[in-house]
Amino acid sequence: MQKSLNKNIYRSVLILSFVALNGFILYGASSVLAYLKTGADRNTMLHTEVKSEDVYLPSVNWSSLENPGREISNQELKSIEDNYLKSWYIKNIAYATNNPYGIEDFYTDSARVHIFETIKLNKKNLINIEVTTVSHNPKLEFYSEDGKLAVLTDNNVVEYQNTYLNKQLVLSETDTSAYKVVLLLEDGFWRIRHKVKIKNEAPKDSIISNPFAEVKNDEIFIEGKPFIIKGINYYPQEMAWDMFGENFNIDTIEKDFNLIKNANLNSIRIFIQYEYFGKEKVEASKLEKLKKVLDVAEKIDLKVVVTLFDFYGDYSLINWTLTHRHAEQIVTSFKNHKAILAWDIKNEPDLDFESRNKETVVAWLSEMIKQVKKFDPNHLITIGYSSPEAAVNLVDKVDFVSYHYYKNIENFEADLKILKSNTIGKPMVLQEFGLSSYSGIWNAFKGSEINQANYHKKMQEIFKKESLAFMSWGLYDFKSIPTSVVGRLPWRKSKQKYFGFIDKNGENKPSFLYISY
Amino acid sequence: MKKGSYILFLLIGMLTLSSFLSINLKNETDGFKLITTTKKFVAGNKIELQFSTTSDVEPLLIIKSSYGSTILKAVKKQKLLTYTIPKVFSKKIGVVNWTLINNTKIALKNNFEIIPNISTKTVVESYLGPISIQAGNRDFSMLVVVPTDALDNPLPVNTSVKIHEQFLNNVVYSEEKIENFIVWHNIMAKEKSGEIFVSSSCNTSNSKEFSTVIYPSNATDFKINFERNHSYADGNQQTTFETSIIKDEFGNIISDGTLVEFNIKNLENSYLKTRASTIGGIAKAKILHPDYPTTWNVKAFISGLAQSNNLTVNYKSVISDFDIEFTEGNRKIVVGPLKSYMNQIIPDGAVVKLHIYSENEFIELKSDTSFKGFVTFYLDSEFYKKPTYNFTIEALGVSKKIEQKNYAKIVE
Repeated sequence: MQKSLNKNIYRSVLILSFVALNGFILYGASSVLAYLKTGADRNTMLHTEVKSEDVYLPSVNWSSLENPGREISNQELKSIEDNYLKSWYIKNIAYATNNPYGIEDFYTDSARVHIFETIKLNKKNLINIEVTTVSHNPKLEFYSEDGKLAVLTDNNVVEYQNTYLNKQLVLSETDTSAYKVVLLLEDGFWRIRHKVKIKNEAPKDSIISNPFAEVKNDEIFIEGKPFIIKGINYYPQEMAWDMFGENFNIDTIEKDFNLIKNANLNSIRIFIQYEYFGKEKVEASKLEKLKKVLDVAEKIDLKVVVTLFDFYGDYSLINWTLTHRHAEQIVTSFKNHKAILAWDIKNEPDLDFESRNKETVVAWLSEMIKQVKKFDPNHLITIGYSSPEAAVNLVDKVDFVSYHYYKNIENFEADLKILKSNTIGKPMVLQEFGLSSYSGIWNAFKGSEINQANYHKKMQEIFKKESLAFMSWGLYDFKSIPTSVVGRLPWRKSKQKYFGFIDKNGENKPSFLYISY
Repeated sequence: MKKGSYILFLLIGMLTLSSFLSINLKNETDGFKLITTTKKFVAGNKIELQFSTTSDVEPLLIIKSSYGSTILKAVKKQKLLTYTIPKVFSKKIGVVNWTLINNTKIALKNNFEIIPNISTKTVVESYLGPISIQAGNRDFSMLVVVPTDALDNPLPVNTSVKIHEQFLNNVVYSEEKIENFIVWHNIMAKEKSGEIFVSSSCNTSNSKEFSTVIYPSNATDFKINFERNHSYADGNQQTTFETSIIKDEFGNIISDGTLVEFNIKNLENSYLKTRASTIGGIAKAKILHPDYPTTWNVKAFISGLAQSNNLTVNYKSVISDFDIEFTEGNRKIVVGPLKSYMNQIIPDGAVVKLHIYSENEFIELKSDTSFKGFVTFYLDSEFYKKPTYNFTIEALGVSKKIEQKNYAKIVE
């Protein structure tokens, strides 16, 4: 009995393992077959559909399309432009990383070897080169009858290059060069066959400006009259850091603007968040809302300082051209708007000096000033630094110097004096200052609305004495603050909620008396 | 101080005089001075930049050329700094910008140019397209030649390139000058169809052979004719329509495979169609004879391009009469024998139609094809329950009316 049971167990184990083995073999064979069948779509060879997103958007201005060969259609031109720019992008990445990934797609067999060899050389010598081109001005010299060969001259290519040896920055440099390029259409890609750097013809500058505000010595003039900024940083009470979102209400904003005007202020500062506005593809709806805000400001006669690139933090070279397109879309839309006093390139960029490398941030700011001036020569430019010490950066590039002050009021006049000696006689604006009236567990119940009122009273006395330009932070106490502003820590968030002149219930706080002078 | 500036002034004056090439004031700052006076180098040759120095530091030199950029370190001998441009950079033409870096600051900055090495063997790279064109004087292929030196650098402006073109024992030479790295030349189509062979040469190097095919131009109007075994409308034989040799405006026979469509209008104004592609300029299309006497009006088209004359084709009747037999209480109707033009039994497949009426009201059309000269219809008592029927029978264009036939009532 025992024996036959054992025998049956052996049998069933044997049969089961046989079945299982077969199952495994079938499973294995089928997954091999399935693997071999994936990706076998033959039309992928033709590159008819290459999914891509915008990664590299330097400005491109075709100067002439007349050529002795075939007349070029818009679609063909677009595809040449697209592939030509990608050839730059891929090459820039290859030199930055010393990895030739993707070069085959945009350089022909004989052209790509030079890049491969250079990469090999640089890799051996521990050299990394970061490049971005900012603008291209191509001219179509020739387009062949069969549409497979094109020659173009790319003039005034502005290249910004960071050169690193052993990961140490050796030099940052901007060059303007010209290239003559022969491109061939090979299996769906326009590939570079020849690329030769040639002598650049200097560009003819023809920017006509129609300035709405001017800077003479250390004063700002509007329509010939000196203008002293007496302003406030503005977010609607219910829409802190979300001014152009779904709850956008122009009536509320108009009411607020009237309130500001009646409080003897003449300007406001508003913020355009980079991602919130759609990065390199600025949302039309947001622009419309911004226009409404500016129109109302014009109606009520308030001047607006528009702060761009709020919450932008990636200053890397490869990202530059995308930010240029962002600025282009916003700035060109409002280059003739009379409400705007100035474009503030970025709020407190000096806070990124440590994490993002000071040279990188300053280089980005400097180039962005050039770009914004190009898109809009009519308005002033400034940068809202977080402290008077930082405000000396790029002082020769901005129209007026903006700085923020949240330190002890005692040191204000001394700090101001130091800054003044370093600003080569440009106007200065205290663009943010204020004191939170928060009183609670996180600051041991030390703050109060009276303290806040005293603070503003003292500040206004100094402003009045020296006729200083100021913009206080801010009009309202907020009920909630997005985490992205000051982080998650409750003692920071709570403090940030109580900087206003008007409390959560819409009542004027004692400080309201000292909102202006 | 004054002395110093005089010396500097003199030095600059001497330098500018002693060289045709301009040397910047920048070339001597921080104690570094460019010694190399050459501003143009030939690709592939050794390129060295030399600087004299008064200090002990060895600055880095950044070079930027057509394809890339790198950093060079100096070889220092006493007060002389030598930078050797790597081969990767020295073999490619174009402007090379260099920047001498002393401790992250620009000490000197300038450029030199590398020009093509025309003493090396030229490589002639050429492209011809499109590779098929149409006869006449409108269409053309374009030859684009991109000659390079042995180091793959495009040759300088105004280098001449010869273009050879052969067509039907006739060879034509022409010459073009390089502009924008390329030479282009249009190869015009000829009035005769055929193949043009093209090649080019530059500095004793030759390209490979290219060819472009001249296809005949568009068809011109043509004539059509027909052919048939007999003129009877037997619904069995085929009539063949044939075009004349279709040619283009220059007398070239049009390309094989051109589709010709024959539109046939019959006496009832309905259209029949048949089509064929040309071979050697001739298209032959067939169509079955009608099964009743009629006249066809035929015209052929090559869509949108050419048309033929009008052609009239008549078909005669094959029979004048046929027999009809009613049996099995008038329920079985046998039509035939159907006899053709020589009294032969008509080939199988002739259509016979039976129109059934009852008290002048149309009930049904039955249709069948002949087999061995006969067609049989059967009116089943289960379906045809009326007491009387009358008929019309049609075959090969002859129509016969049958007066009222009576049918016995079925007793169930």
